[in-house]
Amino acid sequence: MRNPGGYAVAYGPGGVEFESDTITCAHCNKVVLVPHGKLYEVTGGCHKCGPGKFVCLPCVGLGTCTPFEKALEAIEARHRFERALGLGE
Amino acid sequence: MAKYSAIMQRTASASLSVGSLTAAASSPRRALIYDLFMGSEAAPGDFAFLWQVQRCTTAGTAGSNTTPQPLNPADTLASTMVCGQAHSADPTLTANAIEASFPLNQRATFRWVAAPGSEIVTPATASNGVAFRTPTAGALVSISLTALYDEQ
Repeated sequence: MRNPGGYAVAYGPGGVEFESDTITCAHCNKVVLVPHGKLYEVTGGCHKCGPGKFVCLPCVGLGTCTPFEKALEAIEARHRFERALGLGE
Repeated sequence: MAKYSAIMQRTASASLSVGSLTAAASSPRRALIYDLFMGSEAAPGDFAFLWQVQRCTTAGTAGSNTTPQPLNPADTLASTMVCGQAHSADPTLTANAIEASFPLNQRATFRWVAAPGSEIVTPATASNGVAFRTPTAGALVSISLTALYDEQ
C-alpha cells in the first residue's frame, strides 16, 4: 500500500514466513494488519481526519470522529484535575 | 526526545502479562512505541501463541523491573518509564483497548515497525501505559519481547 503506517514481518525456520503493511487507527491507535490489496476491506477513512489517515472498522462503525491525540489529552487532563483535587496518585 | 529499548521476559502465561511499560507516578511522560520484537527462545515447538498489546491504568506487580537502555549512548538521562516483567499480579487492563493482536507459532519471531506518526502512544498519566500479554499460550516456555520507544 502507499504510505503505510507500519510494517510487520514474521520469521520462521524457513526465513520470512509472513509480511504485511499495517495501519494505526487514527481514532483508537489500534494497529491493523493490511493484507496485500485489501486495504479497504480491513480499514476505512475519516473525512474529518483527512487523507492519509486510516481508521479501523470498529471505529468506522461508531460514525464519530475523535482523533486519538484528543482522547490522550482528555485522559491527561482528567488525571491533572484528579491530582489537583487530591484524588488518585 | 530520547529513544529507549525495554526488554521483557517470562515463562509464558495465559493469565499474567509478559511485561508492562507504564508512565512514572511522578513526572509522567508520553511514550511512543515504534518497534516491537517478540518470540520464544525455548527449544522449537509447534504451539500457538496470541500476543496482545493492551492499555492499562496501573503497573500491577512485576516480578522484576528492567531498566530501559538508551539507544543513543549520548543520552545520559535515564528513562522515566517503568518497565516491569514477569508479573505476579496483572496491571489493571482497560477493557477493549487492545492496541495490537498478533497470532504466532512458537517457532516464529515477529517484528512490527511503525512509520513515523503511527506509533502506539501511551498517555503522560501516572501508571498508565500498555501491558504485553499472551492470552493464548500453547506451551509454558520462555518468551521475550523487546519494545523500542521514544519518550516525550
